[in-house]
Amino acid sequence: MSAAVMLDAAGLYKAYGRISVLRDVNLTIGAEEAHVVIGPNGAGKTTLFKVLTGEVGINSGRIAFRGEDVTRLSAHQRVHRGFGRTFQVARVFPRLTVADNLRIACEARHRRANPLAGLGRAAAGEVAQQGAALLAETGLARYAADLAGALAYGDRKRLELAMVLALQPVLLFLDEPTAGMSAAERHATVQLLRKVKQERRLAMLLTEHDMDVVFGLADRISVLHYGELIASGAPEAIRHDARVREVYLGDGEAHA
Amino acid sequence: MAVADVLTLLVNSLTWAMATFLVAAGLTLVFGTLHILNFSHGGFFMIGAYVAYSLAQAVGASDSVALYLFGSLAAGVLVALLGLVVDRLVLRRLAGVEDAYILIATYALLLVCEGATKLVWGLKYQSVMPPQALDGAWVLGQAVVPRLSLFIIAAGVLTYAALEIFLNRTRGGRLVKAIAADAWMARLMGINVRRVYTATVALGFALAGLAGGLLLANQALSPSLASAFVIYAFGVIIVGGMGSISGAFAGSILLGLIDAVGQWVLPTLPGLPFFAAMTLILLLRPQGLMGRRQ
Amino acid sequence: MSATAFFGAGLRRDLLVLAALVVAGLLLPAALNRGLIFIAGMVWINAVFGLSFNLLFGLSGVLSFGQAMFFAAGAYGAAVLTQQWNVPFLLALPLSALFGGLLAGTVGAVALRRNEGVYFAILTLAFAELLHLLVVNTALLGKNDGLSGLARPVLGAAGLRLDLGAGDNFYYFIVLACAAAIALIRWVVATPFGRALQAVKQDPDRAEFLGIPVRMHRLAIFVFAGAMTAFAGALVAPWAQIVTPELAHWSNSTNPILFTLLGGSAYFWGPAMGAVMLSAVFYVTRTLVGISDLVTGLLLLSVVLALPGGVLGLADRLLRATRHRSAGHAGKEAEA
Repeated sequence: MSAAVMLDAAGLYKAYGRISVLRDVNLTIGAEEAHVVIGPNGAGKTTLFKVLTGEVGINSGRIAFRGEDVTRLSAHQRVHRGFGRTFQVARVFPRLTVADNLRIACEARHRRANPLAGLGRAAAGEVAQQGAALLAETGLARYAADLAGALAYGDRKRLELAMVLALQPVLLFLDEPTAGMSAAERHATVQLLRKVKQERRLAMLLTEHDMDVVFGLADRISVLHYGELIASGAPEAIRHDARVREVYLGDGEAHA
Repeated sequence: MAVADVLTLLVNSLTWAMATFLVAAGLTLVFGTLHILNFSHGGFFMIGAYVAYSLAQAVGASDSVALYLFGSLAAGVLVALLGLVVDRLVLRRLAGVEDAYILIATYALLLVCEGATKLVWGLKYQSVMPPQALDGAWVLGQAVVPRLSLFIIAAGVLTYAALEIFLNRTRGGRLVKAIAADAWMARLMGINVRRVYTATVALGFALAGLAGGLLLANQALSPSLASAFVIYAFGVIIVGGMGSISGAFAGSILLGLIDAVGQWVLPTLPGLPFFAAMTLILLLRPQGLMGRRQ
Repeated sequence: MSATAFFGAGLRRDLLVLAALVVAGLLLPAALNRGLIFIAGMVWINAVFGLSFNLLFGLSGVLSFGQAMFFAAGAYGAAVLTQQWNVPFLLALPLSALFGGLLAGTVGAVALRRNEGVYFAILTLAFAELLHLLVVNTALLGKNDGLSGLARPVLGAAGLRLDLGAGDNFYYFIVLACAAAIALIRWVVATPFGRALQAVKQDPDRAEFLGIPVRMHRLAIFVFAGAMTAFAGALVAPWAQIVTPELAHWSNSTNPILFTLLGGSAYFWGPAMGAVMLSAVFYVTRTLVGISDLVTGLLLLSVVLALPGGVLGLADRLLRATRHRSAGHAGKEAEA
């Protein structure tokens, strides 16, 4: 793992009205690091995601990506800088085919922020090739002509991942990537994520409940409790951290 | 600016405000509960006015305030019955429909109202004289205060008071508010939400019809009455907060004042301050003065 | 070609349909009297009006209740330019379209700040009413009477002179001008921009997180639709030879909504189909006061409640049913 810091979030405060959801959260993610955030429901994991990816604003704090201050940037601007985001309930374009979905993602990467940009012939060819390659990589080639809305849940998650990878991100935000999956699907997803991470040298930030997934993927773990980050470090260190055991595992929160 | 002018301005703005509130009350009630923005509300207001007009014609020339009021109530009842039919045939079917299509459907309903009105009553503009007790004006120094204006203001305030009492002090009203806040929860607690919806629709339409009757002598009667009032009613409930009766009341007064001041300051561009205010609110505080941010 | 669900695939087929419609349109004067030709011209203009609206509604999921303001901007723009400033019509036409686009840019920059559709719809309604008020109260624009006596233009260049006021010439001009506009609209739908808009319609958050600047896209299509609407409006000025504030009234904003829903918003030609049908309805019911409103309202209601796909949607379903049945029969015959 290289020493370069990819994401540096400091002093994040987020409140909805008088309810503070995130309090003085500090988080760093290094290059090619898989960082998992765990914590009980309501601890603020999804809000942390929203704040880091630009879906909602923060009340105070600073977010730096590769040295650049991205705190004020919109979600799509952060995507252009290299963010990728998947949602807890996979979001794809339901009334378009699987191939169409990928085409949108690939074209979006070429067009970036210019709504009027078109695609030259070379770029169009690239888009077609890229789409086909991603379909093959995620095992969705046989569904290319099916409507995305008709896909089974696990396939939809893979499609979403493929779409996000089409953007050629460097930092992936995965919100509970194995939520709602069977043990076999979960295992397959972990393998896929490991492979993708290694081949593309991605950094990742995930939230997860399943401890097998957490320890199977994580290079570092952070623990969120009522909006505060109470521990952050290597998996083994977290496993033995006294406060974490008391606050998290002691709540009766068993394996998902 | 002389006291007389200020008084005139106040009376004018409050008259406009209460007239608009009378129309907007039913609209915001239905939106708050069923979350349907009923474009056709203005159409049923218009039908209420025409019904009251026909009743007055049938009874013959009369100068009784009581009869004027009775006509309004009758219009309210009749339009409420129409509302039940509309609810059964149209509104219920809009339950799962997307917002955009709901707007379009209720607009279609407005067209039906306008068409039916033209068919039954023709295109002519009619002018209805108020009963003698409400005709004419009081002269206070330099100011002229039309009696009809005071009647409308009183009608608006009384309607507001009645609605507030109903919503906050009666069981029925509290049911309506509960369902408006959380229909799912209400169902869970065994409340027959469907029945309350129907009752709310009936009440909303009754208010439209009643407003039509009460305002009969206020403006010319014509098939374009619906379009004239619909936009103002929209503006008022948006400024006040969609779903809030108090909001509609406060919003109508605020917009009435803005409109009256605007007419004095910018007489060549009537209506501009109204739309400017409406636009500003939509941009800066879309939930309105008293609405809850979703 | 692989299967795709994009609205706008099949560009070549639609351009052929357009060509056929142009040929049919150009042949109409041989069969119809002057009065009906006037209506035919209005149908072409209304088709462009409806198609522009559907760029917002069907393609991008943006519902505007104020498109009349752009139609009126184009109509009044063309009237003022040609009648008061003596600008040649061939220049006034694109200028009016540009004016519509600029107006849309201004309104859109403000109105698109609110993401919830209902607020945007009502904001556009409010802005349109504002424009309506301004038009009614401006002496230069003829106030309530509007601007009348607009002449059919005479085109002249390099010694050639074409009097569009003679015979059915202006009708032919309308057909060709509208066809050009329709072709442009159709082309835009098939671009990556058009595809991105469809994605924005289905899931704006997902689109934003793919790096698609959602608000910019909506603004861009709003401007384009505004320009095309103004283009259609500009053609009305010399065709009807009068422009009145009615064109800016919000009932005119609902016309393209009617065309689109009646024809079917999921089909490119839906709004055109709706324009034809509604013109027929209006013509048939023109003598019976109130019937046109009634019929239109009932039609629209039935579309929303029972036929959300519109007429073309119904036709599509029937076609699929018969294809299904004949496939079934063929299967049975093979077995026999």
